[in-house]
Amino acid sequence: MIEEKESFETRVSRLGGYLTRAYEYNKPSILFALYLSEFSRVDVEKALEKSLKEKGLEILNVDAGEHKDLPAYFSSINSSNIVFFVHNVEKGFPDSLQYLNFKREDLAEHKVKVVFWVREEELARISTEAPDFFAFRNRVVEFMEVPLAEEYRPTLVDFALETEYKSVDEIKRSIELKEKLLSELSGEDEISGYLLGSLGILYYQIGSFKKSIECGEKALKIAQDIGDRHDEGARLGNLGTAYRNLGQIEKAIEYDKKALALFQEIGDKRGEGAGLGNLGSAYSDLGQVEKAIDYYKKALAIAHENGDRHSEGIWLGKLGNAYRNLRRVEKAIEYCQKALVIAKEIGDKYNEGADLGNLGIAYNNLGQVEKAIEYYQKALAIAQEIGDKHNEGVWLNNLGYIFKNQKKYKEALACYLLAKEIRTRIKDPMLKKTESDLKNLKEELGEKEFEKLEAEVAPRAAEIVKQALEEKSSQN
Amino acid sequence: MPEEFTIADNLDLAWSNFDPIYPLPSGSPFYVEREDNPLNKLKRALLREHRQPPKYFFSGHRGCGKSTELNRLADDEDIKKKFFVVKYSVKEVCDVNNLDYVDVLFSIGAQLFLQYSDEGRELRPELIEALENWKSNVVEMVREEITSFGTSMEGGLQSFFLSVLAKFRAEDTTKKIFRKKIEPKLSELVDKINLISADIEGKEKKKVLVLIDDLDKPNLEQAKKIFYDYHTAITQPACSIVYTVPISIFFAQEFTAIRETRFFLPNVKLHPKDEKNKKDEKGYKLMSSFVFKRMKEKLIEPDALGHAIKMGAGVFRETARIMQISADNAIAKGRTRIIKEDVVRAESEIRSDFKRMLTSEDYDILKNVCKHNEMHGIEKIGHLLHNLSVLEYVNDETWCDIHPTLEKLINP
Repeated sequence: MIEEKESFETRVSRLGGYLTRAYEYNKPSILFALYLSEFSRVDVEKALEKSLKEKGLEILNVDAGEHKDLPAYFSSINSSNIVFFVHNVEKGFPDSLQYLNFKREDLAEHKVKVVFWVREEELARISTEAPDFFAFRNRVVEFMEVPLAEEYRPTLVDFALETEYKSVDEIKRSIELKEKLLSELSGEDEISGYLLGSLGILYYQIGSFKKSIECGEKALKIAQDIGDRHDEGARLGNLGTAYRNLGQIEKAIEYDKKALALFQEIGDKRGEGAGLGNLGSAYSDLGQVEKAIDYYKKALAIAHENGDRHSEGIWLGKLGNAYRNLRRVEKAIEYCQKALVIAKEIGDKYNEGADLGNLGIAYNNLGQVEKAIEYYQKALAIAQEIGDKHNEGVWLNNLGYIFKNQKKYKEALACYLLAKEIRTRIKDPMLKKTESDLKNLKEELGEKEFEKLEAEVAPRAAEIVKQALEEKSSQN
Repeated sequence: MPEEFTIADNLDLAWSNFDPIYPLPSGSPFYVEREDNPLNKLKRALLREHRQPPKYFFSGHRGCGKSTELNRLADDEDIKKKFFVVKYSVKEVCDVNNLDYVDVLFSIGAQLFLQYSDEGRELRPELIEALENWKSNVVEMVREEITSFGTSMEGGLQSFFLSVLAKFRAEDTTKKIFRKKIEPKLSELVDKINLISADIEGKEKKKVLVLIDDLDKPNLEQAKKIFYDYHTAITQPACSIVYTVPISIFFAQEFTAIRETRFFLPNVKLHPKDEKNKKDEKGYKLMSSFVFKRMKEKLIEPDALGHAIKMGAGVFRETARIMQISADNAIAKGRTRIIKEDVVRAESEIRSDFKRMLTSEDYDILKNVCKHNEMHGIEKIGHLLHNLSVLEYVNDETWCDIHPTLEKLINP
């Protein structure tokens, strides 16, 4: 957000200026140094330490993991020429947040001078979970530059490749940061490739399939240019998946086949398994379920051979769905249950939710409606917990359908309205389904009745759904 | 805290004067008087005659000057003439992480006793005796579960109150057992508070006024319990009390305190509702005087001052911070005067600070607030009021707006 770039030295001396002036005027000083890479943190620390020492100040390093009650610790050893450098801030969470928030005046009273060395997510938590303390800050100074020297590369590559985030907001923040890095990099093909590749995955995760493909194609080109075969295969596979989600199945199959051939050629078993499974999904989308099952089984065998539990869980789940499409519901349930066990075992929340929801669908197909609701309810809770909006929409819509069949129109409408809101917000192509379900409900109820109900339900849809599900679970 | 209050004539000292951390002590020359200060209303209300000693609830945004105003109230001549004032911060006597209404009531009794004794005064011997008896009972009840309890309390009532307060702050198990034992006999505790208070009133020929600061600091769940569920209990004592209340509770429907007992310290209004481009001259004048009580006019260019006030959103601490950052920016550039560029840079820094706290749902709410300036659905915007991204203002009606640094983010 800062328009004009300030030099490294300017920002280091800003920290130094606050601390030495605070020393001079006998004031407290609460500063945050926000950094991206450990390497730049070390550089800032060294430079700052040097300038503080010249002014007669001393530095005391504090590990937040060991001193959770930081205010008490500061007060116990503070003297006017000490500056505390707090590290490992995250390790003190959540206790340290409480202490800081409630004992913030201790820092003022003892004129504590402190620099908290924080990463984005640490600072975000401090500002939201210790807001009273954060309101006491003097300033946040950012050191978000990308270290480009050779020795920094591993950290940067790690960051570029990171695609596991807990929430949609984290994903969006990471996308923003990665786009920023990308615009700063030039002539850094390998890292640009990694960034583009991970952006492709992140955009996919938030349902921006077009952006995902755009980044994926660029990353593919870079992988081909620099001759990184493994990466080329991975990009092809991701692109296949993105095209499939856009409904361009033929194109998806083309990419998946290329990826599969490439992985087989370089002897990458993991990649081969993924390629086989993706082809299975594509054929399943085309309605060629038998063929899909063949591919899934091959993928499953490879995952099993490699002890790759995560993939094993995924292909089991897919097999379950495929059998369900063939109306072999008992078999479907068997596979989904196996998949669920694995997802729980490895703590894979996303697939745990998906497996639960799929079990719901299967039981619904069997006409065991109460059981179906129970599974949807669990799946819904997980989707909400991990911020998986797409599936939240799916389970709500399915619940709506069941309620409608039970002639519980109020509950049905509430589910549909919530699903509609979510799907509109994330621009989910499944919105059409919700819209047509709503239309059907309107026809069933008649326009007048529908509008009357809508006026009643719309303002408290979430509450109605919650109540309906709570009643259910208290009956069970 | 020894303080110096000199109007700065250089940016270095200005930097120091805009320290965003301290509430001002009473009598500080940095203090700016607000027109229609709600604290004056509270003062007038306290000075009126009441059949029952009133309980008042006081709230305001983080950084709007609550503690500063309470310090002033406690030191006000008229108030001191009518009242024996007992002011304390709840966080000095209780563990704010884990606070319940029993702790609050006990702290009132303890502080009445302790602060009166600290003044070198004494209660009636009969009352002392009654309190000693009550103390022995309490100690005995707690000893049923913790045999070591009370061994350090041989020094009489003073050390009893002090050590129980210390245990409230630090020892979780003792605290829980203490609460468990006291709670069924709450009327006894209230009774003791009333006896102490009545004795002080008789001796001093003054009413007793208790001011409790920082009761807006506990986490929301605990605060809700105290202010919603035990509203009756905490209004029992027969002395006048002013409680500070968290802002999101203050505006919630569940908060049943009647209108006449609520006092809200609003932010300084800088533009009329729905008219963002119009300046509220009074507000700007007040905030200018806030700035110029701390530094000389020559240290900032007029357009820079206007921008700093706008971006400070009429919240004193926010304005202090933005001025401090701007002063630092000017110093770093080797200037002796703050120019608009310095303030714009500070603005963008504060915007970044907000960006880190907001979720995508928050953005939708903020857009709405920015457009309509309405506060509906306190349950949705409660946390935003808390982190200052939504601020509210009062004239004839209460309305709110987003923090001005966020406008660029919402409407780029």
